[in-house]
Order: sequence, then structure tokens, then C-alpha cells
Amino acid sequence: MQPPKRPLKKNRFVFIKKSYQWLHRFYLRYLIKRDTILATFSVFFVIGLLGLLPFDSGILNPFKTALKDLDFNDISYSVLHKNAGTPIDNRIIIINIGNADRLGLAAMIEKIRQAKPKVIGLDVQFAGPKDPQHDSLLRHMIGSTPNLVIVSRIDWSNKTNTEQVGYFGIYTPNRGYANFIGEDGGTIRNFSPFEKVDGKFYPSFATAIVARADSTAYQKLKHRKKEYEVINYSRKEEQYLLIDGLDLLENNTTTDFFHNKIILMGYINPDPYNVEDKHFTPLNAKFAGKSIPDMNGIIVHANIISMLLDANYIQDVPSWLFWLLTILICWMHVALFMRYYIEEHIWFHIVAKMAQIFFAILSVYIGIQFFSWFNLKIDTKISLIVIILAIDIIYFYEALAVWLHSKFGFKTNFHSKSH
Amino acid sequence: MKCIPLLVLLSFCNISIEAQKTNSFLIYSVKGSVTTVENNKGTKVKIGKLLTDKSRLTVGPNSLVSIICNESSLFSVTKAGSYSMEQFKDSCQANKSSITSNYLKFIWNQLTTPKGNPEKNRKNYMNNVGAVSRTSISVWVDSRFDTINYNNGTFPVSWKCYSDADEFTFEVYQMARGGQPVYQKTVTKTSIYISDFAAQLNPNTAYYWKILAKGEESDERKLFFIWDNASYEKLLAQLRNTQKEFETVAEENFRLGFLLESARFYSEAYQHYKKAAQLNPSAQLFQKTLEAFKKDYNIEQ
Repeated sequence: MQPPKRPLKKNRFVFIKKSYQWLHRFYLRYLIKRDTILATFSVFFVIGLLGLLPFDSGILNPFKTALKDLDFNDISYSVLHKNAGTPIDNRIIIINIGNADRLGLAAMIEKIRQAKPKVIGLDVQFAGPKDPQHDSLLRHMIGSTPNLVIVSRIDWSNKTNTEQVGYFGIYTPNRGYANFIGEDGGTIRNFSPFEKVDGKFYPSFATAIVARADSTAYQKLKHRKKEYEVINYSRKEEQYLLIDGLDLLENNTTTDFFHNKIILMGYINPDPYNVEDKHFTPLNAKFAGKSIPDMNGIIVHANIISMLLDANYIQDVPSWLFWLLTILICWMHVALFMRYYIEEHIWFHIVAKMAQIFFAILSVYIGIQFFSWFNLKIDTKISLIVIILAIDIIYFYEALAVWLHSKFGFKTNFHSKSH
Repeated sequence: MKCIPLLVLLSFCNISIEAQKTNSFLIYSVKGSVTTVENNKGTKVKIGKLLTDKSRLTVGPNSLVSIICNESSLFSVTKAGSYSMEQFKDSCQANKSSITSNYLKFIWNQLTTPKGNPEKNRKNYMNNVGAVSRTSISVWVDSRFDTINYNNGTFPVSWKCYSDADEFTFEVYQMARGGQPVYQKTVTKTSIYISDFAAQLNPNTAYYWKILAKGEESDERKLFFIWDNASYEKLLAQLRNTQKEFETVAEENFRLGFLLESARFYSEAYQHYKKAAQLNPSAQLFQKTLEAFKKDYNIEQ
């Protein structure tokens, strides 16, 4: 006689229960052990202590130095081509000024303004006087074109004249600083929309252009009240309408379609080895290591303008959530490391290294996906550092716990004979 | 253990020899009345004169003299008086920092200049300006001339001038910054032939050149490198052998011209482009490339 069949639901429940019991015995019980919690706390305590050091220890730390200008989110652009499917932004037209002199630039502005564009942005710095006739013509153009925005430069080392307006800056109030945020020769990932100098707010070049082109987008940016914004690089040079300034001057191109558009006048050189006004961006084919700059300043400005017009901002994970997640990740890893450290020490290093590799791949993948799908930036570097640091901290914690145990009877799962 | 006293003795001898070394002083610049006494004979000092520890220098009132000691340190004497050159030996100490001390200085600087990171301390990271600069310099040099490699031939180094300047000074230096020019020439045209100055320079040495219009500062110096014949021939053979498939002599010359131009051997590239155009006058590509090359580099017909 066959035994009666058990109901499937009950079977499943037993399986889940047994699985849980096994998992609890194997790993979960370590999560709530005092040693795990204290070791996790020690990891962050050590990070805090390192942060308190009055000097920059980065140079002695090859890991930190190597990661200095590395952002795993760059992989989204350089490897996964986050921007690949973005259509051409037909709100912006870029005029390549090439090597045009001041007379040439004045002639270009004259042609462009006749077509009544929304805004004209001239991304050129003028250090001093040159030919008096040419200077006079350009000065006239700048002064008599109300929708022309020119660039200035913020120099924080200059206490009395922080905004360097250049030779023609005094002839127009329409200025925006062209500074980006980044290490010298490093990747440009951020820009600051406004800077406050002596109580007065100065807009960046892109902000000043958007203020004249789209007041809604401008108000949105203003209300964010952020000191810096992460640039959402949506387009490369070829994803903007690009016109050669010479063609414009020689009437080889019509200006009819300039009407109601944002016209950016800047320098572009297709020669990859010409690095004049070129910057490293996350779109660089080499996301780490030595390379050559990949994007002209005007295209970076264009990307910022596109981002502001679309309000397509990159969001940061709130600090509290970021640290909560980091602590959680660290706690789970420390529990796993503790288990192998105490119970199966022979496997400890192999498991720890495998866990680190697995987590490194997983965290970078999750970070990239969040960045690609939701424009949400998660800095996965910190959690990686925490996991790497955890192993050394466990060794330190063991020694401390054993010493406390022998001196003060501190209860610990570590004991001096374990290794 | 027996070696130790010997090593100590050798070190002592070395230190003694170093201490005994005489200094040589080169007159770099003179203003006013400056004379020197050597072997009881007084003479007026001129730029380029070499003095020793035993020389005596007399600086008159409102005069000055700048002196280079041992090819390394420069100092000036502005106070009137008579001086024995030996008393300047402390000015001859060159700043020859050891690798260790340089490394320690580097570490010190790195440790003591915390900058934070771009997100937290953006003001320290706003030096990148996304704008091209149109400065007050009226001379413009094509960026392709940033580096010029040269072995043979005649080729003009040219520039454009946006002002009314009718005189330019072409200078060649051994250093990227500072130093005195090893070659200097004033020209009225907006070009100078490489062959005019290359003969006066040494092969396999990096030189830096610049061009300045009268009364103007100049842009950064550009690199000029003369290849010796053996190295150039080796490179040419390598370039020749990169193409294994059949090609005519004209095609080979055209390819070499292209490769040499990419490698910034403009003079040599020009010769190969010319040869290609001569060997196959019916090839439009060769003729047009040669014309474009001449136009790009301002080569007169």
C-alpha cells in the first residue's frame, strides 16, 4: 500500500524551513554575533580615522592614487555606449570657428544674428588687443548683439578680480564662465551652474545660454540649488549639427535654419592629436590609464546645454542611503569572512578573495546599470574599499579581542589557539 | 672586513679631490665698468670671458656683472669693489639634488597639500576652461609644426601673421624653456628654410624653436629634431617594408610621402610626394596631394 502523498505546499514549506535552518547554521547566525558587528564598526572607525589625518596620504596609497580619476560609471559611456542611440539635438547648432581671427569672428556673428537665433554663444577667450580695426569690429558686434553670450573665466586664486572677463568682456553683460570641474588634465564629469563671488552670483557659460533660451529649464536648474551638477554626456560631436565657419562666410551654407536655435561658436579640430581646447570626458574610449583628450570644450558645453534643456540630470544617491547600503554590504561581508575565519580558516583567504572579486564585478555592474537606466550615480568605489579593508580589520580585531579577553574577560568567538 | 679601511681611504681621497676642484666663471652679462686682473695684467671684461679662482674682478660704481659658474649657477655682482673670484665659490654650488632628496621633497609636497576631491572642493578643481583662446599674439603657427623631424632636403617652416609686423625673429633653443638661443635670425618673410639652420645644429638632439613678431611675446616653443642618416635610413627601410603587396615606384613614393608626413618628416615627405607626381603625372591623386601639400605648407612654386 502506497503512503499517502503529502500536499505540495507543505513540502515546499519544509524545504524552505530546512534551507533557512541550513543557511542560519552556515552563515546567518554570524550576522548577529557581537564580533561581526564590532568588526564592521571597526572598519568604519578606521576609515574615519584615516579621514582625520591632516595630510593627504593618497600618494603613498597606490590603490587610492590609481582610483583617483576613475569612475566606474564611465564604463557606461566608453564601453556600453550609453549615448549611442541619442538622436541629433536639433535645438543646438555648432559653428566651428577654426582658426578664424577677430575679423572672421565678427563677420560670422554678423551673418548668424541676421538669421535671428535664440542665443549665440561665443566660446572664445580674448586675452588682449590685437589689430585695432578688427578689435573695433568685434567689439561693435559683441556690444550690439543682445542675445550673444561670451565666455569669461573664474580664477579663484585672484582675490580682487575673480571673474576674468577678457578683452571684450566689459562691452557686454552677457557672460558665463567656461570653467569645468576636474583635476588638471583629468576627466571632466562635473560643472558648477553658478558661482558666488563677493555676494554676487555668476552663471556658467551653459547656464547663461539656457537662461536666455529656455526660462523654464533655467528655473528648474536654479531650484535644484546644487553646487555642482554631474554632466550627462548624451551626445558626441557627430550628434550635433556642425557647420564650418568658413562655409558660413563664403555663403556655402544657408542660415535660414538658424532661426530660433541656440548657436554655439567654438573651436573644433578633427585631428585627434590636436589637443587645443580638448578635454578628457567619460566618453573617451580608454576609461582608465593614459590616453589623449577626446572632446572639444564647445561640445562639452553643448552636452551641458542639452542636459539642462531636457532637465535630464544625473541624480546622486542621498548620503544617508549611500552609507546605509555601504554599512549593510560591509556587515554581510564581515559576517561571511568571520564564519570562514573562525570555522574553516583553511578556506578563509580563498573565500575572501572570491567574495571580493564577485562583489567587485556585481557592484560595478549594478552601478553601471543604475547609471544607464535611471541616471542615478552610485559611487561603488567606497563599498569596494570597505570590502578590501574588512579583511585587514578582522586580523586587527582578532588580536584586540583576544587581548581584551585575556585582560578583562571580554567575550569573543576568537580564541588565541584558533590560528 | 679588510676592505673597510680601504673604502674609507678612497672616500676620503674622493672628498679631498672634490674639494680641490677649481671653479670656472664665465662672464654672462656686463654693464658699466668691470675689469679683471689675471697674471698682474688688468683687462676690461667682455661677455664670454672665462675666469678662474685665481682671477680678480673689479666692479666700478653703478656697474654690474652676471657670472655663470661651472655651467650651472648664475649670480650677479652689483656692489662696487674689488673681489677675488675664490670668494664666490659658495655661489658655485649647483642645486644637484639627489634622487632620494627629490623623492622626499615630492612626498612632502604631496602629503602637505591636501586638495580634497573635485566634488567636495570644486574651487580647487576649476582650472579647466572649456574655451579656445585667441590671444594677443599675432603670429600663428600651424599645429602640425609642433614637432618637426628632419634629415635632409629643403623645406620652409612657415607661419601666419595677423598684424602689420614686417620683421620676425626665428630662434632655436636647446631647452623647452629658458636658456639662450643657439640660433637666431631675423627674417622679413613669413617662412624660413630648415636647411638654413639645420646645418648648425647637432643630429639626434632635441631643439626647440619659436618665432616672434617684433615687439611681441611668442607662443610656446616647438620641437625640432634632426635624425642622423643611419637612423633615418633605418626608419625609411621599415616604412618601405610595411607594404608587402606589389606597388609601382610612384605608388611606393606616394605611400612613403604620406607616412613621413604623418611622422612629421615634412621635408622628406615633400620629396617623396614630388617623386610620385613626377613618376606618374597622370595620377590625379598624386598631383592634387602635391598641390595641397604645397598650399598647406606655403611652399613656393
